Amino acid sequence: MLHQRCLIREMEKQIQMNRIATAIARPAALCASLLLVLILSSCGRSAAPPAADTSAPAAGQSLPGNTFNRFFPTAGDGYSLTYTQEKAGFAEARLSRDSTDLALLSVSDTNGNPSARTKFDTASMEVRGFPAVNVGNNGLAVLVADRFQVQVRATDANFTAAERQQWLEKFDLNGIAGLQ
Amino acid sequence: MATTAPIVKMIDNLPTGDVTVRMLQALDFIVPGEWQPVRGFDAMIQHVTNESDPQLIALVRQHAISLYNDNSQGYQRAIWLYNTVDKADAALAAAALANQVGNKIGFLGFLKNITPKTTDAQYADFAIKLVAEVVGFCTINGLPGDSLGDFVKSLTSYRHEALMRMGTLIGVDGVLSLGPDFLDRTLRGLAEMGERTMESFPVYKEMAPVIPGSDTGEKMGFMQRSINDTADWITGLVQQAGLTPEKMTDSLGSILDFSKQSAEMVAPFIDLTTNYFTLTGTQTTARQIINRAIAEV
Repeated sequence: MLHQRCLIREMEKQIQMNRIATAIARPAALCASLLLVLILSSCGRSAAPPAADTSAPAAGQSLPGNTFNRFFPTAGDGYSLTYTQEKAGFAEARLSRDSTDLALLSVSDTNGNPSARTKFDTASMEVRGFPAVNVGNNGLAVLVADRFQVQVRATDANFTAAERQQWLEKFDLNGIAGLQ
Repeated sequence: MATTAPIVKMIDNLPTGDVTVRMLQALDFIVPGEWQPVRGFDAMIQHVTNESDPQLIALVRQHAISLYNDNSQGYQRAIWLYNTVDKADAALAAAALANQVGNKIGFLGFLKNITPKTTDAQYADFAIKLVAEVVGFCTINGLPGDSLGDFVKSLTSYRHEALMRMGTLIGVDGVLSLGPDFLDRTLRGLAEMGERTMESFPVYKEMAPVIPGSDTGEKMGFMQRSINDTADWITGLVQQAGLTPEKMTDSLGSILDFSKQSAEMVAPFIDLTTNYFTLTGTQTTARQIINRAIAEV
């Protein structure tokens, strides 16, 4: 019942806010609308915030994202890397040059999503001896040690397939393989 | 009947032509070309990944849904942050407007005694929204909530909806609401504002659990540090976009029905009638989930 009353009040608050939009030029009407919004707002408390990132891996599950950072390519020569996500089993960085975003570089632990390994069963390419596949038109991925997927995805149309492979080769793939 | 996954529903239901969308379009000059009103989850996947293969999109969609539904990943918390700061600021804006009305109209003078000072409300609003952005960034990226240094470093590479959100915060809740010296004014205002006053604001009550700090004093300290540490970047954006209160009023005047006579009421009026944190925050969260999903499938 309380929830329903709050819903009704939330609807009433919206109606009042719409009235404010038209009453802005009429002080008395504006005042009445504002008072009602103030009163109705007291019922609009949100639920408690959901949990923070607590995705610590269980034994035998994905490795922590920060495990992968040291195996990413080194930037330089005008290129820069900005790390954009670090979650359990996943790390991602954005490659850019002269303020232009070029690609997203990532390492993921397929223990968190084992079906991702399937596409490498029929891989016809290799990068540094690891099976490689295209992911759509813009991504190139390798599977390292049958577990870690390393991917370079172009976010700029001028970042070529050859450059994707070059940047994939700049990862310390053998180092990642040693994480097993 | 199958129910639609929450993240899909949120993106599918994003507005494409309401007053928030029109406001963001009018403010495109602050961060040219960074924001687009993409609606529909599959359209968002295509937009973010630049892929069109239906099989790949279906795979990404499925994995993105499970990433969002796992509340330990922090994406749900980010959505909560963006929604809550937007909803709660409506009450604060109503209080600010009521105080303005009380100041200007004799027989309604009692209003100024039962509502907080407009400026205090505006300082709190700007500071708490900035902190929401800091905490939202940390949550989505998997960092502790008080990683202010990482946030500041990443500002130079802010893009898309996130940059639009910061541009709107600076333009609307900063320059338009408090004038060109909004950073100094807000810092002074926070320093002079009592903890009781801060605690009286609904937006603070809602957001307090996620603002770093063990009590109101420490949380207000984090707000001040957030402003201090981002001041250089913010000032740079103000100068680059040539932001002035007049330019903001002119840009928004075409889409919001207000007169120049009520200019000081414009910013709280916008807070009441728009929800740009919710709109762009939902897009930012979805973008990060989609980028991760296509890297993991």
